[in-house]
Amino acid sequence: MRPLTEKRVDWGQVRVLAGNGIRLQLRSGRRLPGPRRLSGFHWTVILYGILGFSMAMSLVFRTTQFLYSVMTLGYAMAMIGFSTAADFAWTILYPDEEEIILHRPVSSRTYWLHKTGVLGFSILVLTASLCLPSALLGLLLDGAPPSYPAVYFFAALMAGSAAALAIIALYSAFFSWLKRERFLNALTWFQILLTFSLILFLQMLPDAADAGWPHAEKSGWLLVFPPAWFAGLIQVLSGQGGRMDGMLAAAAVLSLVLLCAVTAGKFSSEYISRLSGPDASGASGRAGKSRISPAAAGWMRLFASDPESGAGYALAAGMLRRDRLARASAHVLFGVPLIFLLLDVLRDRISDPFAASGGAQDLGIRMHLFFSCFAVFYVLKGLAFSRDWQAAWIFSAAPMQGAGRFYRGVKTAVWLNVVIPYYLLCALLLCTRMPWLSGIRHALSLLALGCVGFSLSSFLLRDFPFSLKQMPGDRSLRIRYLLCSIPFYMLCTGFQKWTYGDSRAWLAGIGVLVLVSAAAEELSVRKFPRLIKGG
Amino acid sequence: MISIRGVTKSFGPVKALDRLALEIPAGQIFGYLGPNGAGKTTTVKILSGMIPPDSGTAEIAGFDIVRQSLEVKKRIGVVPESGALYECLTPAEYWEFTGRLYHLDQKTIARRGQEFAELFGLKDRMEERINGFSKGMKQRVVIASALLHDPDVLFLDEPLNGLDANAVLTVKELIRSLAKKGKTVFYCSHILEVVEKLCDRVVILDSGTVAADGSPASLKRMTRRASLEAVFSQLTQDPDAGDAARVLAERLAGEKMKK
Repeated sequence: MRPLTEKRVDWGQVRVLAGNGIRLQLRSGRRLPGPRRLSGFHWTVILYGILGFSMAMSLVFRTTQFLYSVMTLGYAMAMIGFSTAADFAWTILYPDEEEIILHRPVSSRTYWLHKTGVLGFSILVLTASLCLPSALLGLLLDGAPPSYPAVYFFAALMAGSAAALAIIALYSAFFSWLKRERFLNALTWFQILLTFSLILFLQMLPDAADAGWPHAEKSGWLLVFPPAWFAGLIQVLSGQGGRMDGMLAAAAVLSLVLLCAVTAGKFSSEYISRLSGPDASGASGRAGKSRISPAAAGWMRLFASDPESGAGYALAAGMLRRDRLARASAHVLFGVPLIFLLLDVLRDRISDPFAASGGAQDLGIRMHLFFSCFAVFYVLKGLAFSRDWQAAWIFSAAPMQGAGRFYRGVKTAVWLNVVIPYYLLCALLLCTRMPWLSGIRHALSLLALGCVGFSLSSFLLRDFPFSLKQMPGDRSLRIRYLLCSIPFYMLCTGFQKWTYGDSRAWLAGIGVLVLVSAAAEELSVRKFPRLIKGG
Repeated sequence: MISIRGVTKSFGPVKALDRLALEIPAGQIFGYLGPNGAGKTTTVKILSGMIPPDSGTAEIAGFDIVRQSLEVKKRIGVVPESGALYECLTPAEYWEFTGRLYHLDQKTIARRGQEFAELFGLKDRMEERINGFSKGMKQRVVIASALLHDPDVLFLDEPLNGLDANAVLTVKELIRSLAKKGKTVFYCSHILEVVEKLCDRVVILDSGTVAADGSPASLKRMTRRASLEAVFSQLTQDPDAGDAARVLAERLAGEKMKK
């Protein structure tokens, strides 16, 4: 027996649902009412536009028309795939909709079509913001026909749709196999994996543009690289295609048709019954260890010995283990700089930053530093979101002496469970490519700078940890923090520039950073009650 | 109006409903009580087509809840326990959205929306986003959205959550009036005083089975108790729970004295 699978499509309802979905999308991530605040979606569109323009500019004078199309489309596909993956749980599985929609007379297929419509709107807008600059700049390519922008944009729309549908097909398969709670856990890990893959891809793109690729143009291996299929389509549609382009274009069309059939087939008719899932009671989770480790207990005695700090520590440590939002936030934040470092270690691009040749100016060292700054600066801010946000009433109800002390416990947990292991890993990786003393000294510098960033970031906190409900677009909205990390990054590069050449200056610099960090920490503990809403 | 025959539902090893059988006629205000985890919300979810039963059948207004779920859903209104709604919307937008899902025309939605706004004191806040509302105000929006399409059967799962005394009076009066017009009200709650005063018939559910079924007066007579609360307690509570609670309270008071 397969209940809730009425296949009728009510187009009137599809229009109403999709219109509402788009309206929600445009208002996503906006907590407070007000016309002047930009939503997460708007931020994504702006940032994608900037990134698309930068990517097109960096390639347009370096490659042929075909490779330009391959690379920019590859980039757009990766970004749209990532966006779909990041917002899948919201666009496709908006959790509250179980209770808003499921009891209303909406058939499974109608509901699925509305979701597809909303997704189509996202793809259209994101593709436009990512690919319009590439389409227009494409006119500067050698021998590009006047029709290139229009043809390119059409192919980009197809490529973006294919990327989004591929993610949906993959997730739909997971969703069919796994129970909902397990599925959502798997989703978190998949998104982390996808983020790292995207970074790898973006890191390797410039290398590919510089070497090897021009010679490999139109060779058989392109058939396994989806962006090349759509680049082939551009060649065919702009009247410049050969036999290979024809094959690539056929692969593009075929892949899109296949993905449409897979996603709109059986799954769409069972969508609502899957959504209401076998474990709709909400029962989930495993019992886990909640003991404080001896190392943590020692640290707590030193820095967070009062009961409120203890409560903050226990809560944060537990949530970092069990709350998928907290876990994903921390892993992605620190995973990104680690991937950068790992890549540069593998490509042997890191030199001793303490050497006279000035290795501190290496691109690898700088990128790692930038993302470390971002991670340390925003890890606490990211911890404001939780699945259990409703439990945050306790922060207002409990007779707390000082929110600062509570937060000190939270910070201790983050420091011990995430930050320290991260810097240890960095030290290990650095020591493989430079003298071990330099590796440790550089890792120590990063740690000291991290301490300062961590303390300073406390002044940005406005909410108790795990107290906010994650809304659609919240993740996208956090991308803008990248821009805010720049002043702190400049401070870090200044520190390297002024102290790495002289051991005594470096030692004194570390001392100053530790003192600044301690002072900022103390000040933030006192300021917390005024900074935090309801604190 | 509602006919439930041998409905069973399990979540893993937990049997939420065990061969549940009930007949609820039109125009009845049906109180559905039970301790936490007794299966009340599961019953509502099954009857409103949100989850399927493992076995058994149920009909609403003559339509099978599984095979004709869309027909059933057209005739019911649901106020879920969570009170979930799209908080980015205004009440006017939310009602327009839900109304159009039931194919109500624009004029009807606007007229009924205006009436509900006046009834629930939302008239001046129709263009404000719901995310700025208090819990009680949100609940008013949810209740109105469940009634907008004039359903024959109303499922109310803790509908008075967060409402102030005036709003509670309004909702209770609304329920009585709807029942008089022949609407069936399936009312789940833990507020026993309200159920006692409001409902024509009460079923007490315990571990997924019916522990008692009758009018509040007949249940009190049968169990020789003075109130529905006492009946409920007798039928569903661990007999030692009262003593255990007293011992714990004394221990807590003792510890406070020592401090």
